[in-house]
This record gives sequence, structure tokens and C-alpha cells, in this order.
Amino acid sequence: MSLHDRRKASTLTSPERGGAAVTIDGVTMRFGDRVVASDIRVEVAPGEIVSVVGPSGCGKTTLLRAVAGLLTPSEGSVRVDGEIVDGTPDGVGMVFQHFGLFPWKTVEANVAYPLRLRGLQKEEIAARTRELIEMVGLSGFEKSYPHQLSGGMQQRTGLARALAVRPRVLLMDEPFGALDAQTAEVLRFELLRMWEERPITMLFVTHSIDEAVLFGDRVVVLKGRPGRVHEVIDVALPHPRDRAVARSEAFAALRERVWSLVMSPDAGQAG
Amino acid sequence: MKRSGSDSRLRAVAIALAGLLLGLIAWQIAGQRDPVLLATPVRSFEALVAMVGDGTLPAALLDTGLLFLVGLAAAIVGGVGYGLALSRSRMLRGSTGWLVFALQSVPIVALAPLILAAFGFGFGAKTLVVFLSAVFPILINTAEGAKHAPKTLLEVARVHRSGEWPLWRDVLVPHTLPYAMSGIRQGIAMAFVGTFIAEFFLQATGIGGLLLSASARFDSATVLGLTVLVSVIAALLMGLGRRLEKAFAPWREGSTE
Repeated sequence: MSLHDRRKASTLTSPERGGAAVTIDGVTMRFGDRVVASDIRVEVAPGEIVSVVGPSGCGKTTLLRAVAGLLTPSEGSVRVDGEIVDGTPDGVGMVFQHFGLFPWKTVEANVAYPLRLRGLQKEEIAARTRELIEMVGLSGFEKSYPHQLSGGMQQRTGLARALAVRPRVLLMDEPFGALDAQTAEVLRFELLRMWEERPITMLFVTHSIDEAVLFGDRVVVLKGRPGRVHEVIDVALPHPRDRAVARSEAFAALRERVWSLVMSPDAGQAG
Repeated sequence: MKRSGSDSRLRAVAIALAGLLLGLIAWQIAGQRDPVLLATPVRSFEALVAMVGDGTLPAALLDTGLLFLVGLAAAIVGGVGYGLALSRSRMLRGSTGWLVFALQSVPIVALAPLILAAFGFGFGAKTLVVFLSAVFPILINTAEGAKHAPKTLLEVARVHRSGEWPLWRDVLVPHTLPYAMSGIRQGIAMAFVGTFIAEFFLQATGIGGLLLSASARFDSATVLGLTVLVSVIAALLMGLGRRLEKAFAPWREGSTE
């Protein structure tokens, strides 16, 4: 109930939250004999951001790949707006840790890629691409190739491409993990600002506890080998999540809580 | 910096020219001592001019050029096409992959008389010899390149629900192109050799035919003149190949990969 009230409160300050509901229903991921994730159950409400943290090897990236339809769960299922994921559903955007840009395409062509695949009209592609590039602050770099850009600028391109399809769900695979600390910090707050303008469902896999708390409405802590859901923490921090929020005592307390959960001796094996 | 760069390039050209001049002088002196076996550069050049005059050289060049180009074009189409197909079809790879690697090591020179005999010594048979000489480096480079298409980019394509044809257009072909181009560069050299092999057997034609008949007549001026001409053409073609290889991957420029 309290969760529901909080959701209502936050919609007062920001526009209606859009996006799809994502249900991860008893998902087990197995590669041969190796079980990577076991019986994961997470419900993500429309417009909610759920962060997934855990030590490396807990299967968080594998889980994200299952939601993206890149891997098929060995057991259980993933549903997006009630439909079982079998191959990536329409309206799912993904941001990759190492950007996943086509080195032979310019910034413009990389951002336009999903639009071209959808067979949109040339003028519409051009207009939307321009809009997206402006939104991520890359105007003037349209004709640059990825290798000519800094890591931060490459990930801005990756972000613009993920947003090009006006996604219902945004899947983030450690999106700032390959960037230097300062660039990552700048991009975090820019992404949050964009999200406040148009809130959509987000599943955010990260190994940064700060990032998980900063973004998440809830933080799912995975632990053990195979990884299981160890704990789910409600993050009752106000929106918009800006630098002031990141400095608050409430933030620090939550951060400590998640930290101790991630760092505590493995309880996942027993349960 | 730029100035010293052009200076050093100038010096390289000067050294190359000096070497060439030295070689020509040595050739001239050697030729004057034994004018029967070794014609002088001047006489070789005169022989070439005479062949241009009576029309045999242009006709032979046309013959040879056509054979080379058609054979190479077929090898490019076949090699790149099949190389890409191999990377996408496990069945094709399993059934013919080993055969490609086995055939690659067969010397075409040894097979050429057989092929020409089997297919009738005509243009088609000769083209086949050129094709077989050039196709394997192109095929193998392309297949290797396509096989190593980055996994992340294939995932990006899948996340964007790319169909098979856009997957080729956006990922496989652009990724493979530079690999195919270095295969084609090697293929150009092989096709060149293959062209002469094809021209040497039985119904000798083109430049190869001229070379062969001049050699039989002990006409060393013509043989040497043609040899120099062929080397110059080969050098130009290799330069062109390298230029092409660079031109097809502008996005690679300055990358550290």
C-alpha cells in the first residue's frame, strides 16, 4: 500500500509514467550443467525503475538478456505487458556496457538504425534522428564515426539509439560501467533528467551500488551461485533524483543498507 | 613535420630511381657483352615499340586483360559470396568447409593442363584457371572475417528485431568488407599468375602467348621487354589493390584495432 501511495505522490511532480509491465516469473537460467540464476521472480510496474545489483557472477546480466529475449529461460518465463518474451518484443530498448555501436556507421546512422529497420519514411527518420541527437547533446557530431568520439559520447549515441524506438521498456546493461567516474556521473544525472521528462519502465543492471539506489524505485539484490533474489529494497527517495537527493542522509542510509546486503556472507545458497 | 615527411618521400623516390638507373646500366653493359642471350634495354624497348606498331601488343594486352578481369571478377563474386554464406550456414560449413581448405593447397599450375583439356582450351576454360587461382584467398579471408563478426553487434541486431537481409546489410557485409578486400588484394596477384598459366598451355594467347613464342625464337629483346612490361603492370595492380583495401574501410582510419 505504501508503495502505491508513493507511486501516486511521484506522479504529481512528474508526468504520467508510461511504459510496460515486466514480469520475471520463476526464471532459471542454465548453461549445460551450470545453473547461473535460479527461480528469479521480479515484477516491474509500468514506469518503474528496478535496479539489479549483486556480486559478479550472480547472473544479473544473464537475467537481463533473458528479458531482452536474447536468451531463453531454462525454466519460467518473462512477460512484457502480459506477452511471453520470445525474441525481443517490440518497443524494448537496450543500452550496452560497451556501447554496441556499429563502427562503420556515423553517429547519425547509428541512431537512425532502429528507425530504418522499422521502415519509416526518410524525412521522418531524419527529423527524429536530429531530435534524438540534440536530446543527448551530440549536435555537431552527426557525421563522426564512433572511434572519433570519447567513451561518454559513444554511450550518448547508444542511449539515443535505445530511445529512438520510443521504448516501453529500457534495459540497461551496466551502461556506465565502461566510462570514467566523472563522465559516468554526468551521464547518470542526464539520463535521470530525461527519464523525469518521459518516465518509462527501466530494468537497470549495475555493479555500482550508488547507481542502483540513485535510479531504483526498488533495488533487487541477487546473491549466490546460482544467483537468487536475496532481498528487495524499497527506495523511498523523492523525485526528481538530482544531486541534492544523492547528497541526502536518506540516500546514504539506503546505500549502506544495500552495501551490507551485497557484502554480507552468502545467504543465497541456503534459501 | 609535414615538410620533413615530404622530404623523406622525395628521398625514397630518388633512391628508387637511382636503383632503377643502376639496374638499367648494368643490364645495358651485360647486354652489350652478350647480345644474343641478353638483349640490351634499348633493343628491348625497340622490340616493344615494334609490337605496338604492328598491333600485336595491343591485341595481346586486350586478350590478357579480358581474361584477367573476367576471371578475377568471377573469383570476387564467388569468393565473397560463398565466404559470407559459409559463415551463416552451419550445414554449408560442415559439408564443404573442409573441402575449401583442402582445395586451397592444391597447386593450380599442376591442374591447369587438365582443366584446359577438360574444358576445351577456349576462353571459358582459361577463365576457370584464373578463377581457381584467385578464388581461395578471397574466399578464405572473407569466411574468416565473417566468422568473427562481433557478438555484441549481432546482439544489437537481434534486439532491434533485424531480419536476415538487414543483418547482412548492416552488420555482416560492412564488418567483412575489409577482410574481403585483403583477400581480393591477394587474389589480384594470384589471378595475375593464373592468367599467364592459362595462356601458356597449348593454345597460347595474349601476352603469355607472345612471351612463349618469342622465347622459342630466342628473341631475347621481346622476352625481356614483355617481362619488364608485365612487372610494371603487376606493380601497378598491387598498388591499386592496396588503395582499394584502404578505400573500403574509412571507419578504420586511425582506429587502434
